This record gives sequence, structure tokens and C-alpha cells, in this order.
Amino acid sequence: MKKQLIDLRINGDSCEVAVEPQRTLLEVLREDLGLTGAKEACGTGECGACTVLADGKPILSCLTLAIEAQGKEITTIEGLSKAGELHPLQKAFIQQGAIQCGYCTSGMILNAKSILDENPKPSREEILKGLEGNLCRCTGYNKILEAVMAASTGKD
Amino acid sequence: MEDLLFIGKSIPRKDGVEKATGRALYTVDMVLPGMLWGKILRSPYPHARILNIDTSRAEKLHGVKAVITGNETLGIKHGFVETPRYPPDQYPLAMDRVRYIGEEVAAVAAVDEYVAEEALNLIQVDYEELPAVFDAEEAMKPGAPEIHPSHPKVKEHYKNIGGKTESGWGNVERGFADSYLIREDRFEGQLRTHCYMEPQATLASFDFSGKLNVWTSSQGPFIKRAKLAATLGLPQSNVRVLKAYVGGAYGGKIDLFAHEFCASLLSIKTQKPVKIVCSRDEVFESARHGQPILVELKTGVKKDGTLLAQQVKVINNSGGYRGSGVVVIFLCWGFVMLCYRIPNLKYDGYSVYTNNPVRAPQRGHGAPNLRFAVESQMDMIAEELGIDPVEIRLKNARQPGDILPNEDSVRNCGLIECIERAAETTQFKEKYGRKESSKEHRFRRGIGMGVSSYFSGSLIYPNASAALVKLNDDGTVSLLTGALDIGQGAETILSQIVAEELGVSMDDIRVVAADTETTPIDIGVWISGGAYVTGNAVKLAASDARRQLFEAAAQELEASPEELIAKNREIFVKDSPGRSISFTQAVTASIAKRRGNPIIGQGHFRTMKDVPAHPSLATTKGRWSDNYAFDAQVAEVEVDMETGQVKLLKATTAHDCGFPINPLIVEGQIDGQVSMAQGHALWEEVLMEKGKTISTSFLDYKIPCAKDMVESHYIDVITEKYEKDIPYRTKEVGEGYVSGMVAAIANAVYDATGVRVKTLPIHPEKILMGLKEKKHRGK
Amino acid sequence: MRIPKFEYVRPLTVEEACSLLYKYKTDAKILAGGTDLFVKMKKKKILPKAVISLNGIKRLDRIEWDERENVGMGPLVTHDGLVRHPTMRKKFDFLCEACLKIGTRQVRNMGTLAGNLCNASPSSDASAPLLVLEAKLKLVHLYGERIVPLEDFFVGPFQTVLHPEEIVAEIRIPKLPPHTAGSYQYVHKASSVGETLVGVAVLLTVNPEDATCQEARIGLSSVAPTPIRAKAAERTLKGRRMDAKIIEEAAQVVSDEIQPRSRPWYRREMARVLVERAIFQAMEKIG
Repeated sequence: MKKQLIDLRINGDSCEVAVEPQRTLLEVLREDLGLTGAKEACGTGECGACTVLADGKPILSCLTLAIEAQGKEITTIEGLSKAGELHPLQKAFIQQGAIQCGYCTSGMILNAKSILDENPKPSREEILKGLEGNLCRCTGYNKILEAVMAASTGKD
Repeated sequence: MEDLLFIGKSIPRKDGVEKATGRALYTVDMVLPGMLWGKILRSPYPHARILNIDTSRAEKLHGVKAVITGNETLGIKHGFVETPRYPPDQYPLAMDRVRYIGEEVAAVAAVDEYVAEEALNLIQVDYEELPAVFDAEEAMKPGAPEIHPSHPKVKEHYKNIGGKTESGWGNVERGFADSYLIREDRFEGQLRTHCYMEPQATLASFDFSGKLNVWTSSQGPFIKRAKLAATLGLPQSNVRVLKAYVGGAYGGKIDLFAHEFCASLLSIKTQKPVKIVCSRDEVFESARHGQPILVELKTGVKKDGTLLAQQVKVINNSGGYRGSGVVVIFLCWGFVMLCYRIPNLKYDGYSVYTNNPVRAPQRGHGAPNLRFAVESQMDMIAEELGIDPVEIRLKNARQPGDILPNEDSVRNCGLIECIERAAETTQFKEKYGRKESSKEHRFRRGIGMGVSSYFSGSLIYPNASAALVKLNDDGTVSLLTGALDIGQGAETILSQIVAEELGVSMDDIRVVAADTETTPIDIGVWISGGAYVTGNAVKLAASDARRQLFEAAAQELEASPEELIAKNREIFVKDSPGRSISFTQAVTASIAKRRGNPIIGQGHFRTMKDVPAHPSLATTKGRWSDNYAFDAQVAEVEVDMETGQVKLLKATTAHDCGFPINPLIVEGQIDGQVSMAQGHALWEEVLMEKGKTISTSFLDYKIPCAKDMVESHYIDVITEKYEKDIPYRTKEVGEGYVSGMVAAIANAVYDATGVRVKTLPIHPEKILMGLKEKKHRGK
Repeated sequence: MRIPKFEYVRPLTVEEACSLLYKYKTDAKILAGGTDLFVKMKKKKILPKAVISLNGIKRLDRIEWDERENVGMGPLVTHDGLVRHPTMRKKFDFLCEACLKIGTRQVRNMGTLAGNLCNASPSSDASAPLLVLEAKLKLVHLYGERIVPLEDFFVGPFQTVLHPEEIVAEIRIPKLPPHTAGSYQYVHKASSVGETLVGVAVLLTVNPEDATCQEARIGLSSVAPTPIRAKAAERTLKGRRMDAKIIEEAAQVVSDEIQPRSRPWYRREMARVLVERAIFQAMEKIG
């Protein structure tokens, strides 16, 4: 299969990569660009560990072709902290004990960010419904909810 | 506890920033130059002889660098348990026979996964199918196909017995004869699976010096090193298992897995790094699931509910090889006798071979299914006697100082306080028993209790933990520990201990962990001994470092070491804060004046100091643990009586964990276990058909999602304390809280609906069918 | 899990897409959201030689009303796009509720309604509401087009009448008469997310003066090889005065009518319970 030269916008930077058409955005991020924050836990759209933001909306990068991610502003977990300063959600996750093994964390934080970007003061139900696509086997989601609530009210 | 700065404090985890920024590297993230990708060929048959394997076409495929089968191995077996009674029984790659669908038969290493997969399709395996059996009780019958010969030491004429645990005391016949009430019930716990988010993965790199470097998603590097070295025929010092972050394990990543062996052997053959990542459906189909357990329970009680006799039969379906089956049947004995005083007991546990994938421990390792049985029956007995569930438990609960039948002491057992406080906080007695109220209402609520106990650390290879605490010359500290953080916060709590002992801050500590070459031995993070065994080793190492530091400082300060305090990397004379030196000065002085001693503290710890080994798995004879944790859990549920769907509204965990080293981390552990209990009790089930796994994705096997989050409450029952200079006895918090909650949920469902479900999970239709039957019986 | 290799083409017009389909025949698959296509390909259930992406064609995500107030949705309308549309939420609230149940937030951002219908899962949440709304699909191919009622579109589990050379160009929902409301009720297979065990959509038109049912449509998913209409039960209701007894009767007719293959007893019970709940909720909305 012939490789195609594509232009991706990742965390505000332009990245030129040569990819075969079947390569997913997840694979290109992890294997070509060294951005291993997005993870594969299932590969078939059920776990949400591969979640990245495309123009601010959470999508599954394991089911998105890298070719088709062109023309969108992609945000990965690595792009969340600015100039060494953690995003309020990252701080809240750490402070509230919302991270255990950490494998679901990247996708969870990005999805949570998209919820708060749309609605800065969501209810508990809105947060839990919004995060239904990000599976976590460690935390039971309790402290994840606390972290998102804390980030939304500005308290740590 | 005395003024502690770090112990007992909710300190955010040390690896939090790395994980929150996506920088933490898990095995699946690692790459090495020249790396090849490996894939495994698996048996499509549940039971078959391998007649021939032809790998020639695969070897010729462009991009394939190596192909291995059992013939390329040394034919050395391994097993979860490796004792004279239970010798290892599984080849890393099948030799002449396969015993389950998914058993590993061959492996390839190629330039990418596409080529590797194509190569698998080119390997020709000729099988001769053999008769197969999948149900444990069927496998025990005389006519069943033989998967392995039954264990020679088992007297009964059952087939396919991998092992047996037989134990008891007193006289159960007399106990039953004296009983006012006897109940006999059968409970079935289903096949579940771990669903760790990071799949099984290994990166192995064999270098020209003859050293094998391995990164693998595991629960501790030392057992992996031992088994890899043995099966590969390498000296242990030539096998280095290094730290990788682990995306969850819960018991499913403990012993040697074929893909770890294969990645290693392929790397040895190709002299290049080889990475194998199992896909999620591969994990569902062929990685180890949790043991499904059958419990037959006969219990006799006095009229006031006091236990007189219990007769227990446990059958474990261990899959095609022994695996940890012989351990779980031993543990189930423990989970029967730890919580309540039982004057007369007869216990028989059988681990049975079937043509299913090998099973593994899953968080609680038998306790969830066992406590579900015992606690359900306790409620049934209480109801028949007209006693409430709290009273009957208080009547029988172990008391502090009780000596167990195996001569272990329960020491400061907080079980009674757990039960009382759980009942009080949840207003159990006021809420319980509403099932007859408001019959027309669509939703019914119920409340239920479950108690359980778990051991904290036991003797298992390498049987001890050790640690090193090194001072850097700027006064910061390096902690070297073999412990692996799999999400449970090991590195954080161990750092808290160092910080407390040495008076440094958490940021002053660098943790070097889980590297078999550079860090000392560790018992692993699967035997519930992280906080107790490794924690005490680290405490001893830190206090040893402090002792050496004080000896050097004492000289400089012209005081005696007993007069010194360490705080903020400074050493003060008590009551004379003007007299102080920095750590840096003390270290410099030590090097200059104490023959170059840069200050390295060493500590090691072992449970059961006066006992050589683990108790007998077969007879239960011997001391088991010197530290037991206890808990009482309450579940409050709401049932939609039209659909049978159960919602877990609230979970309360009253736990005797000794004392929490880090309450935030302990709460997280409780929450996670409540969530697992919810799944175990209500939804989770791996469906299999004739040895083939049907549930192969998260779509088929539902684990709780955010919308299923349960309101979780914690009650800490403190029974131990932390003191400087002596070992402490904090208890485990990572495994014991699943079982009580599963039982509590089952009991709560009965309270709400009047329907007793004895086979897990509690599907909505079981409730609706039960209600229908009740209605018919009522007529 | 890796997606098997394929040729990728990205047409700029629907005509070009049809022409490509004509060229590749059964060797090509259409890519819209990708949430079904790539999962099937990763599991090796389908292995097309070429993937034709619709995502380069403009205006396929439109939602528009014609002069007769029928609404047409383009093939790239996502579940999220539908649910966010204020007019769609107002006019077809129960369809939006059903779409909010589909997948997860991420899946709804990517997956399209058209793709969901073409996938034809027996348990698809969008199907039952669209069936009772009597949606129609406009299918186009290189040499022409046809309109197919949704009821005739599904022929079996994951099977539709869509020809390999056809593309869904539009999903149309006719205007609803006054005094009409719908409801969607469901139970999950397990936990709060995931496949629907039974899904029921009801659309009722009720004369407000005498509470007689002018029109009753009952759709179910996950109880048969395809999403279905419960016609016998609908006949039970039509023309009748709506009261608790007739509703109970209709629900029982549905329960007796259906032949679910897996967990049949429970599915029948749930169908009965959910049809009742759906009818009651629709009645409440009509007022």
C-alpha cells in the first residue's frame, strides 16, 4: 500500500507524516509522533482510552483514520498543560486521588475537558453521563467525579 | 497516633503528574531500536494431540525473522504453584498436547504486526481432536475424558483432580446432632474476568552480552524473573525484569505467561527486541479469567444463632492446567474460618481440570464467591430463627485475641466494631425488613450486610521484601524497592514511610523500583503484603539510614544520637533547636570521618518469622499470616419490580485496616472494589460454549461505567498504630473489600424483593422469575 | 488491533462516490463515521479492497425542511448533530432521546444515523423511533435513485436492501399531524451502558376531545432479527378510546406477538412493561 504524505495539526503544531491509509490517528500519534498518552485498551470503540479532542469534541482515535484527521485541530493529553503549568483538570485529578493505574486517565481528562468547555458548571449526572464512554476499572469513578466537580468550581 | 507528618495523611500520589500528563510509560508504550513485533498462534481445539507443526512457509515469508514452537524450547514446565506436591504442569509452548482453546502453540517475530499475522496463517498444525469436558462436576465423573491424571494423593476416585484441600476440627456429626437448625445450600459463583485496561504486553530484548532485558505488564518482577530464567535455561542474573507502569492487573498478571516466554525466546533467536501486545479479544479469549467456584454449605446453629458446625465443599474449575486452582481451594478454607468462631468444621476443596483456559486469582481470590455463600446463608438462617442479620453476626464474630484453629492469632481484630458501626451508620435495623411494605410500589429498596476477612501478606517466593534508602549528598533520598506500583499507590505510601522516618519531604524522595538487577527482592504486589511486608522493610531501611545519619551528626553536634530529631533535611538537638546541622553536612561528615560511609540504610522484613514456609495447601496445617484484616459492608439497593433491574444506591465499608497510611489511597481502593463487587454481583459473566469464549469484548462483558458509580462511604476502624523504630501492623486494603460487598448486595436484593438468588450474577430475570414463583406459591 | 490494508478514495461529490462504487462493486465500502466499518474490518468480518470516504463531500451533514414540512437529513448527520439540533429536539424529542442512548459521547460525535441504519443491528436504538415515524430512505446509485420506507429497508440481522452500489443520500421524516407524540423506552442488557435488551418506540395520535386513538404505531428493537412494527397491537388500539385496560391489552398483544430468540421470557416481559410505559408517556405528552 502506498504511503501518503499528510498534514496533521496536533496540539497547535503542524506535523507532516507519511502514512498508509489504514493507519489510525491513534497509531500515528503513538508510533510515529511519540505521543503515547492516548492508549488502546480495546481497539473497537468501547473503552474510550484512545479519546482525543478533534476541534474540541471527544472522538475515538482508534477508529479514526489519520488521513481523515487532517483539517482538524487535534488535542492530546500532552497538549493540555501549557508552559509547564498543569491544566486545572490535571491538578484536580491528582489532588482528588482520581488516578490509580493511570491507563484511562488521558482519555478521561480530555473527555472531561470537553464537558467543562461546553458547560462550566455541569451537574453530577451530566458529568457521569458524559464520561460513560471512558471505562475505568480501578477507581469506581467516585474520585474522578470529585475531580471534575472540583475543577468546575475552581477549587482544588 | 503521635504527631505524624506523613503517615495517615491524604498525600497525592507521587506518579500523579506523570500519569495526568500522559508521560508515564507502560509496556505497550515502549519501543527499542530495531524492534520486531511478535504474535502467538493458539489452539482452536479444547483438547487435542499435536501430530505435526510445519512452520516452513511462515519462515519463508518476507519480513519474518523467527518462528518458534515447543520444539525450540527446552521443554521445561512452569506453574503458578511449584512444590513437590504440586509440580509445574504447563509448557510455555505446547509440546504434544493442547488442553484448551487458546493454548499457545507457536509464535513468530516479524517486522510489523501485519506480517506477523500473515505468518501465523502460514503455520500448518495437524491436530487430532480428543474428547473434551468443560463442567467441573462432569470432569470429576468416572467416564470423563482425562485431561491430566488425578493427583495421586487424592483418595476419592474422582477424575481430573488437580489438587485437594482437606481440613477440619472438632466433630461435625455431633455438632449437627446438637443443632437446633440445619441449612444445606448450594451457591454458584460465575466465571468473571479482570478487565485491566492495559492489555497483556511484553517487550523482551536479548543483548550480545547474553543478558535478557524484559519489560512486561505484571504484578512484580521477581517471580517473572525466576520463571523466565527457569524455562529459558538462563541464570537468574542474566534475566533482568525492569519496571514499567502497569495499567491494572487485579490478580491476572502474576505468574508466567506464554507471551512473556515467547517474546524472550524470539528475542534470543533474532538478537533483536521483540514486543508482543495481546489484543483485547485475545485477552478475553485466552488470558486467565478469575476462578468460578461452587460452594456446598451445610451449617448447624443453636436456637440463638450461635454456629455449631459447618461442612463445606468447594469445587474450583481451574481450566486445562492447575494454575492457581490449588491455592484458591486452600484460601476458601481460610475465608470460611476467619470471620466467625466455628467449633466444628469439615472442609473439602477440589481443584478440577477442565478443557477451559487456565484460571487465575481475581481480586479476592475466592473470597467473593465464598463470602457470598456464607453470608447469604447466614441471612437465611437468621430469618428462619427470627433474629436480625446484625445480631447473628455479632454473636459469632471473631473477637480480638482469638486464636484461629491453625494457631494464628487475629490480634487486634476489629470485626465487631466494624459490624456495629456499619449497622449504626446505615441505620440498618430501621431499614431492614421492608419487603412486605407498600406492595404496589414499582421500586423497592433493600439493605444487606456482608462481612469478610483477608490475610495481609503470606509466605510466597521470594518470601521476603528488602529495601535500600540511600542519602544523596544534598540530603535528598533515593529509595530502592522491588515493589511495583500497579495503581495501588505503592511508591507513594513507601515514600510516606521514608519521609516520616527521615524527616524529609515527599519531593525529596526518588523512588527506584521494580528492577530485578538494581532493586532488592520484593514479595510482589499480589499477596496483599505491600503495606505490611514491603512497608516494614522500607521503614527498617529508612530508620537504619537515620541511625547512621544520627551517629555522624551526633559527633558533629557533640550530642548523643538519642537526643537528635530529623526534620526538613536538618538534624536538631531536641530542646536545643539552635544546635543543628543539615543532612548535607551530616553526609559529608560521615564520608570524611566514618571511613567513607555515604549512608545507605538497609531493611528487610518477612511475615511469620518463626515459620519456614507457607502452610500446607493440602492440609492447611501451619501458620498462615500474622496479620488479618476485617470488614463489614452494607449495601443499599433499589429494585425496579417490573423489570428486575437492580441499582446499587449506596455502599458502606467499615474496615479494620489497622490504620490507613494514606486515607485518600485507601478510599480509592475501597471505591474500586465496591465497583468490582457491583459488577460481580449484578452483571459480569464470561460466557463460554464448549470451551470457546463467547464474551470477547467490552460490549459483551459489561463492567461498570461512570453512570453506574456507587455512592461510597468509609468507616475506618483503627486497631493498630505507627510508631518509630518498631515494625507496624497495618493491614491490607487492596483485595478484601470485594467479597463483603458482593454478599451485602445479594442480601440487600433479598431484603428488597424476597427473592434469594444463589447463582451469580443476579440477572434481572432471576428476580422476576423469583417473584413469579413467589406469587404462585402464595396462591 | 490494526485495520487491514485497503485503498482509500475520497470523492468530492455524491456522483463521484456512486461512480466509484460502480467501479469497485462489492469490493468497496462506504466510510461515514467509521465506528461500525472499522470495528468490522478489525474483526475481519469484512475486508473491502477499497474504502470510499464521504467525508470530503460538502453539505452531507445538513438537516433541512421542505415546503411540506417534511425533514431531510443527509448521510453524514451524526447522532450528536441530530441531538443538538433545537428543532429536531422539539419536534422529535423521543428520537433524540433514543439517539442519546446510542454508544457513548465519543461514538455519537463520530457515528452517523445513516451509517447506523445501514449497519442494521437488531438492537439499534434509532431504528424503532424512525420506524414509528415512518421514515423513508433515499438511495442513490450511478444510474438512478429510489425511495425505500425504513420498514422495508431491514431484511435480517445486519442485512438491508441496500445494493452494494447504492448510497443512502437522505433520511426523510414526514410531518407529524397535530395531537401526536412519541416515546422511547428501553432496558439495557447489563449496567447502564451498552446494548439495548429491548427498545420500544410508540407514536400516538389521539383525538383530544374523546381520547380516541387516531393512529398508533409501535416499534421494537432487539426482539426480532430486525427492528419491527407490532402491527397486531397497533390494530388493537386504533379507533379505540384510550384507557388503562386497552393499553394493558395492547402491551400483552405485543408480548405474545414477538419471537425473541435469546432470553425470550425476559424479553417478552420487558416488551410488555415498556410498551405500557411508552404509551402512557406518549399520552401524557399529548395532554
